[in-house]
Amino acid sequence: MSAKPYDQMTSFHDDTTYILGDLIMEGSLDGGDHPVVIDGQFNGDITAIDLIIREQGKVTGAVKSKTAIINGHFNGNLICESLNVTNTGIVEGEVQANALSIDLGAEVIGTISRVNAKSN
Amino acid sequence: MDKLGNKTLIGASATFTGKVINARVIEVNGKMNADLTAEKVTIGEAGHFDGAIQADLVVVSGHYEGKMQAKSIWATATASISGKLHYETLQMDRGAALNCHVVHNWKAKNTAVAQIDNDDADLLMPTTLGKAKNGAVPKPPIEGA
Repeated sequence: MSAKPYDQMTSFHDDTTYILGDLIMEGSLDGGDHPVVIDGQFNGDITAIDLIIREQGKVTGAVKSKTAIINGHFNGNLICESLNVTNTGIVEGEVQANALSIDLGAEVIGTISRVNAKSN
Repeated sequence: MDKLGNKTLIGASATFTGKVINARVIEVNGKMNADLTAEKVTIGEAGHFDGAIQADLVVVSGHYEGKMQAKSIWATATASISGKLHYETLQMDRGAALNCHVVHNWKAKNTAVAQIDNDDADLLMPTTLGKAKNGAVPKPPIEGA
C-alpha cells in the first residue's frame, strides 16, 4: 500500500471496496481485510478494518472499524479504535473511540465515549 | 491498481448484502448479494454474485447465480454461471462453465412478422393483418413463459 493517506489517494487496489459518487447502497457491508472507501451514500451496517468517508460520502447506520477517517457525513453509531474527523467532516450520533482527533472546522454532534471492553 | 474513475468496487475480501441504487459501472471482486441495474458490471475472477442483474454489458470471470438481462454478456474462461441469461450478444470463452437457461432476446422489428407487414401486406387477409397495420410491434416472449 502506498504511504499516502487514503483520503488523498487517487487510485485503489482491487481489494479495496470503493463506493462511488452517485451510488446509493443499502444493506450490510463487510470489508474484510481491506479498506472501505465511501464516496457515495451508504445506509446500513459496515464492518471494516479501515473506513474512509470521503468529502462527498454519506453514511447512515452502524459502523464498526479499526480506524475511521471522516471527511464527509456520518450519522449513526460508530465504534472504532481510532477516529479522525477532518475539517470537512460531520458526525452525528453516538461515537465510541479510544483515539480521537477532531480537526478545526469539523462538526461533531452527539455523545463520545471510550470503547468499553464489552462492545469490542 | 485501478484508476479511481467512475467505477464502484467491491473488494476481494468484502461481502455486501442489500440494495444498490444508481449504479453505473461496478466491479465485484468479493461477494455480493443484491439486485443490480447498471451500465457495466464486471464480476472478477474471485467474485461471487448472487442476484438479478440488468445491464448493457456484463463481463463474468467469477461465479454468478441469478437472472441476468444484458445486451452483451461475456463469459471469460474462468466464469461459472448458473441461473438464467437473457442476452442479445453472448461471448463465451473456452473453459467457461454455463449451467443455465439461456434466452436470446431478439428484436421484434427484425422478425418475419415485420417483413410481412412491409412486403406481403396485400396478400394477406385484412383480419389477420389488423394488428400489424396498426403499427403494433410484436412483443418478445414473456420471461418464464
